[in-house]
Amino acid sequence: MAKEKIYSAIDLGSQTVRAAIGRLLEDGSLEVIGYGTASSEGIIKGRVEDANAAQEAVKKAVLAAENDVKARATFRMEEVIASVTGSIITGEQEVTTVSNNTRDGVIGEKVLTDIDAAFEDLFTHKDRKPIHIYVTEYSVDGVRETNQASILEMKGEKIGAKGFGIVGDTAILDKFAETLNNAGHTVDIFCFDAVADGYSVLTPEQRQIGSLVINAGAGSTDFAFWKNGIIQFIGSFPVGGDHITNDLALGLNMPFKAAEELKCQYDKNEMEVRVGGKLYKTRSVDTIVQARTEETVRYIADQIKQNGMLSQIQGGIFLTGNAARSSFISYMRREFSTLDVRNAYPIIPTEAEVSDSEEIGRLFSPYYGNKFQTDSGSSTILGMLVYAAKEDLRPSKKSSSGIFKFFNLL
Amino acid sequence: MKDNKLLIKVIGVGGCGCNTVSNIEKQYAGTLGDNFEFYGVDTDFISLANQSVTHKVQIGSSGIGTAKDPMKGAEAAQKSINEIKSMIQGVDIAILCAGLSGGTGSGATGVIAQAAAGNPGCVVMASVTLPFYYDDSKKQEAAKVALKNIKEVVPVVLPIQNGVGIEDENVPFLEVLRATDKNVISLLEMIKVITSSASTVSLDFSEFLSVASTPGNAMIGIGEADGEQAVSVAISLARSPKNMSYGDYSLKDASKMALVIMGNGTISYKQIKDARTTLQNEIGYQTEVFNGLYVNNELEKVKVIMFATGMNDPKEISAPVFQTEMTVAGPGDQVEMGFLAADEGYFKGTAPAYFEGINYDRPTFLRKNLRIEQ
Repeated sequence: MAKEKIYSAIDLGSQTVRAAIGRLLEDGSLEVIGYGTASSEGIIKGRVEDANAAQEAVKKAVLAAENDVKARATFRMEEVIASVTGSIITGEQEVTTVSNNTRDGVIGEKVLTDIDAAFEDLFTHKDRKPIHIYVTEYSVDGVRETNQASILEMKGEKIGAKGFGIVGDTAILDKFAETLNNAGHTVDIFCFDAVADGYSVLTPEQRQIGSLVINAGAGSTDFAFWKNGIIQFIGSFPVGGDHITNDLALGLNMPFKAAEELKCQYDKNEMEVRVGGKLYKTRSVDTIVQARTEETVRYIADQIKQNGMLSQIQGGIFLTGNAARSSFISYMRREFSTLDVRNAYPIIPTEAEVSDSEEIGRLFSPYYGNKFQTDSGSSTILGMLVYAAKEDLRPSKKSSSGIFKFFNLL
Repeated sequence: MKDNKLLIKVIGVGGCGCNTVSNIEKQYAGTLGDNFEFYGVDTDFISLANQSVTHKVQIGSSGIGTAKDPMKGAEAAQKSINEIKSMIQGVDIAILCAGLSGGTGSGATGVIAQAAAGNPGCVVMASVTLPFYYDDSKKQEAAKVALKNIKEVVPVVLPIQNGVGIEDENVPFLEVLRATDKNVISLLEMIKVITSSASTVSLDFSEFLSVASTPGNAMIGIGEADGEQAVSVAISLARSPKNMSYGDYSLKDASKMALVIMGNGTISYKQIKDARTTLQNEIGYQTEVFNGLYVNNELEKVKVIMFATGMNDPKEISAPVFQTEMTVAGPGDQVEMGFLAADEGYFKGTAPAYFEGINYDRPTFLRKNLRIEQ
């Protein structure tokens, strides 16, 4: 009987609820052993609007994921990592300084832990709390150092750090936790969807050289910029696929569900599209969809340019979620003609490729074959599993709770 | 809009309306700028001649007034329809001011409103003054009928009752009469701020128009405060009954609201957040609030102007004569598509997706006025 770490994740999306279970092996690879989905109910624009409906959707997705595991073992998802979207989070920057009190003056792990604790305090507000904290820069006695590894074993007294925090609305996070709790799960940590995507669709090199991940969900369009292996900038535009559907419903005077069908079916090359026995002019549909999409792309483009990221995107722009399933990419390519813009899917190497890498949380899924490589919607939930494993094994991580317990698998 | 310049005409109709406009022009024209023009329209030649307002239009042929008969007021306006059309040509916003105790204001206002609405894209609003509580029942009844008629052609009506909100009854009588001018002054100040001031969080002019085009009863109020809770206090003052235009409709019934917050650079996120959260909790999330923050470091106090529209279900009105059924205004011709219907759809009842002052739950094609073929 081998001891293995098991991570459970729930992605409570506005359109789909996903549940996944991952097993971290001793070589650092992460096997997806359970996966389930259900149509989302009661979640609108990334917020819980009907807790009972949301709980039922969670139960369905979780049951499907657990049943997959049951084929080989008995497992219950209890402590989970849960996703949040950009509609409830903000990005903040802070700086801090800690003292190194070792006798020999050599900087050790304790300094890193102290810096984490200092940022934890700085990013905790009366009504908001940190979801992710990244230390983007260090200094030792006033001399700038670029990364964590370079300061360890150096000598110094005052260690400065610049931090980037992704901070969420406490009340809304608590409502998420309560909803999942009522469905039988304890939320151990939250994860911003665009951050999770970066762990599943980007290679370590892409996270290093500068890559932008854009997740167009049903309720919002979120993005995260990676460089030097960490998040440097995040953003969110409060418009998602549901807004396009709602625009169609209002503009063409049709039910929301029919509008969703229309959105998925319409083809620009056809003059008309038939939904529910009624014909709609493609030109009208396109006018509505185009207005929303262009507005969203324009906002993201402005953010990228205003925050000086354009010249830093060496790895490309990666589209996930609905963005990878719609005409979003053509608008993005028009806006960023000099950059590599592509639809992105979870990177699931073959077993042979996995063994060649030392990256912790390398995904593989023999049980599911090629299922995830073509499912852009699964990038968040799989990335959450990777994130959980990386956080668990982070050297300066404080003693783990809940989610990082050991489980025995038969 | 002439030469891309916004044109707002403030038009006083009848003796009371002309007094209001003359007074406002005298006191505020210098600070408002050249986007604003002031007109007086009256049937009474002598009364109009005595007004100080820059532009004067005499309507009808008698030159002797209407003897408080609204029918005569309407007929006079119809007779002078060419002069009226020429007056309102090219106007983007027409703000009509009238007292509903006489014949010209009560009768001619609707005719002028209809003519203004004939300008494509023109938004028409009316600020009307109702009789004092102690006025006789004939006057009250006539005002009630006039208000009903005006509401049928003017989508946004700001009614204010003479004597409402006066705390010290020993003030000079003329001051009480001038107190009713505050609706128009507040409205003009809001338009001026939105169209000419650099903002931190912008209240787009098209958003103001969407508020100003939402049919129903309207309210406008101003509040000013300083201190740690300046924003919250200023909002409370702006929405307190004595500072609101009529005070008898509930803000909870408002469909839309434009909220302008002015202050210096020390206004904190917390101040804005606390004030907005309190306001939204009190009025409910069904009211679509468009807010703008205008930072001017010369301001010592925080000033808030609140303009709410679409209140179609008024509570009982305190003046006894008005405790009868109120007529709800229908959509006027000039209202652009999308400013009338509920445009929340699937998102109805959820917290609006406000971002940088814009509610992105509202369809883009509506905000951009794109025409959709059915």
